[in-house]
Amino acid sequence: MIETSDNLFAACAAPVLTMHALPDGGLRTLTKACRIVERMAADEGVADVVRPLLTKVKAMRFCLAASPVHGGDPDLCLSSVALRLASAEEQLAWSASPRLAAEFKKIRPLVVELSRRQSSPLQETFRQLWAERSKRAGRLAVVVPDFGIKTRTDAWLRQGPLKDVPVVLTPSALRQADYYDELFLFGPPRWYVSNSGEFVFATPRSRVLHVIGYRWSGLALTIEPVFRRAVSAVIPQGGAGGGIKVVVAPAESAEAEEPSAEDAVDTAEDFGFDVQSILQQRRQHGAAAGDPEDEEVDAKIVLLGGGEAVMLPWTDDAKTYSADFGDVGSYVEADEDDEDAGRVRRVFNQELEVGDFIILRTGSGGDLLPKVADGVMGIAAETHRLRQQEWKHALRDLERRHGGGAVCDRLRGNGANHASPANLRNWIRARTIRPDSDEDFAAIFRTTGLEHRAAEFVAGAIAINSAHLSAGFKIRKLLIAKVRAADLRKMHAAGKMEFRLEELSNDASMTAYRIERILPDVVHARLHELNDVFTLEDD
Amino acid sequence: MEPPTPPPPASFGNSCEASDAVNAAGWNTLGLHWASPEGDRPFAGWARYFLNLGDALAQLPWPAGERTAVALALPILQQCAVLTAAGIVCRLTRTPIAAQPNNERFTELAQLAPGQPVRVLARGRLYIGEIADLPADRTAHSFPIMVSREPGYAEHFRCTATNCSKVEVTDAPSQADGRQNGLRIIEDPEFAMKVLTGVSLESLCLGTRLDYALVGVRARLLEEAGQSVRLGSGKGGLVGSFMDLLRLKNGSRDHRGLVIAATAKEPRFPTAPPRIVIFNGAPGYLKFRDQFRLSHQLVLLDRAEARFREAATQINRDYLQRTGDPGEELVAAAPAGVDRVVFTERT
Repeated sequence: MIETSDNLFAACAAPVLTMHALPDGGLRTLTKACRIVERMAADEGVADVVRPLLTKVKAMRFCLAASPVHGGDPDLCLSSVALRLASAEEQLAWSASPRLAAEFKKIRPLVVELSRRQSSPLQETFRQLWAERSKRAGRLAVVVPDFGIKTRTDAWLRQGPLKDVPVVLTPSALRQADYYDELFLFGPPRWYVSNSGEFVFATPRSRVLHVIGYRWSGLALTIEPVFRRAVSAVIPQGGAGGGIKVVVAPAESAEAEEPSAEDAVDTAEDFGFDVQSILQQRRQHGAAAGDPEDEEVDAKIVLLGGGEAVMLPWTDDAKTYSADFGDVGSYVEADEDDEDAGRVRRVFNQELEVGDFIILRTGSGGDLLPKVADGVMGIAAETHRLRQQEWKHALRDLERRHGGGAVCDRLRGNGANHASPANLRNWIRARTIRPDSDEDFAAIFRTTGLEHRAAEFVAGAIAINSAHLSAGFKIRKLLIAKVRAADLRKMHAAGKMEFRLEELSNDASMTAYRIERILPDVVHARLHELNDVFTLEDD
Repeated sequence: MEPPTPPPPASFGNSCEASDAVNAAGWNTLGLHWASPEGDRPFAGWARYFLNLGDALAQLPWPAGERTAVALALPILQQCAVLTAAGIVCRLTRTPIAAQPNNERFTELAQLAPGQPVRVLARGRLYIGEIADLPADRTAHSFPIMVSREPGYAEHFRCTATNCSKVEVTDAPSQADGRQNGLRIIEDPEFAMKVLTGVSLESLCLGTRLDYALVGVRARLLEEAGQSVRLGSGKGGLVGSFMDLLRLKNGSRDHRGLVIAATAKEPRFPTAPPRIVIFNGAPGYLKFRDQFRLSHQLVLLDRAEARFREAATQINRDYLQRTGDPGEELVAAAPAGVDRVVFTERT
């Protein structure tokens, strides 16, 4: 780790940054065509109709401008994009002006042309650089600005175009303090800088950086001083110790290659995520599970390494297991007993950051905690669980017969302090062991006519609660052991790693995911939708 | 009115690479190596800078009507806070906690009644003995302290005006009835003694004074502090760790600094302000910056951390409210490529 620190400080002091500014690969014309259509659609008031029709095209364009993947790559499915455009053309013929429809029709031939290409200027330059660099031993990595592109670049590399397959990283992976001998970055620096990735250039993870991008996309790099009146550290142009060197490949028409102000403003769209569409995906993913009447809580959508996502509760007290994979040493033993400290600890969701690793349940074994807790209780588990079900069933019956509002009135009349329809639903839910307040618990027994057996229900709840605490401790201990034994380098590259917990159950597992992005919008999620990982679809 | 400029630290304004070989506290920073089974690694310029930064921060006047704020945007946080804290302790160890003249202290101790429990620091270990009831052994210049009265292992400590700083009155019960092994308070006393050339171990270990607070991820800071360090090279070098020097609060033992967990929602803050607070990362700074208005502050930010911009913006806001721009000696020798700022604020 100290060697990493030495290297990072040295790289920060004198980075060698080479910009490979390449001639257009047919993308600029497509970019312009899309922009004309969008502008006309906005003028005609049909922007909402046109935007979704162009989403896929723009995503593909972004991938081609920021990765070594070429248009003819089968995984990119540009032919299918062209087919969709054809049906979109028909749709627009009815709903937009003839002028707009005509402009829209210009996009498809450009996509078809790209889909026929078996290479790209970015790819060719990368192959050439790779052939030169990989002769030297060392840690080399490819960096792309977004994790969607990472998946496609990984897929392209797996097809075997290079002898040695380099690891593909996103800026969030580079947040981990790790040092590489050379990094190959795709796309203009501003695509990184505007996505909180300024550090990629300001405190680089390698002394030698190659930026490979189209000349028209603008490869300028400006890093402003962080602090007012700071003693600053601006990367010098050239110089013996390090600096920026721009290598410009010859272009057919220099004028056509000059970057324009328009090309510099497209970043936000390229990085944009449609929260509603992701929410819809999540609801399709979990349509069968859970209760549609479930209580709603504030949540945020968190995009994870490996192209997955999860909705995490975004309340003051919500916590998630987080793992610190920052170094290879071992934390002091004393802290391993503290749930909120150490290598695997529970952190407040509102304090999670991009680049953090969170650990989520992913196995098909269902919710682990009750299962492990049942193991802790042994033969008494069945008795305690049956007792718990008994008072919950009685309460649910009352709610069905009289309605939540009336039951809450009765509960309040019987001494409950926190009776509300939302709390009532929570108390009835199987996962809730008991109400927090003794008064509320006693009121439930009075209201359901189970007061004479209150003592045994309370004893059962105490036993279940204690078993859940022990189970949580046991799972965490096991996780820590698994994390210690894990190959963290693999995990850093992939952005995720599964830990199988066979000791608890054959199908139990938890997975550590790197947070790629936390979408800023707070959404209303149902309880059963939370903490459940789902795959992000392209559409 | 011009704000008072802090006195320039003795070894600052130099480059990281050469002139700071011996820092102001008098120890040889060039002789330090990170020790590991794979082989030692000499301290690079950045590591020596943080030791020296701690030394310089410790020399800023305090308490004062204003405090100095220093912020650095780093490529990595690893060890930077611990090294600075070590630099602070090494400097401030030279300032006795209780500035009581030895003769006066000896007179007070000599008047204690026989049987009064006292803590005695000897051979790098802490013993709880008692004032011995041996009138015959008392003189005007010394008196005996019973460390162990167990037959065959009886042991006395003779307290004089010269060594009385090793003795402190305690409320803990005397353990002189049995044989005492003593509480090891320094893992590697030889290493600590060598680093603190010219300063006694008791100056480091006895007494409590909050010289610094570290705000960050507790487990990570402790692990960094426990990293093996070798003073000198090869087999002849002395191995220890900065953990011994940091004298972190741990239970009720005497201490000079403490760690405040940045992950805690409501940590226990010290009742008295620390002289210097070191924020190791943006989350702790953004969360607890208002808790330390009286302390000099060092904000170490990792440029790759998610809340880096937010923290930098806050520092820039504070900069606008500054009372002065002290000499940049504090940051001039910082590692190349690292953005830094220093200013003073009213407390």
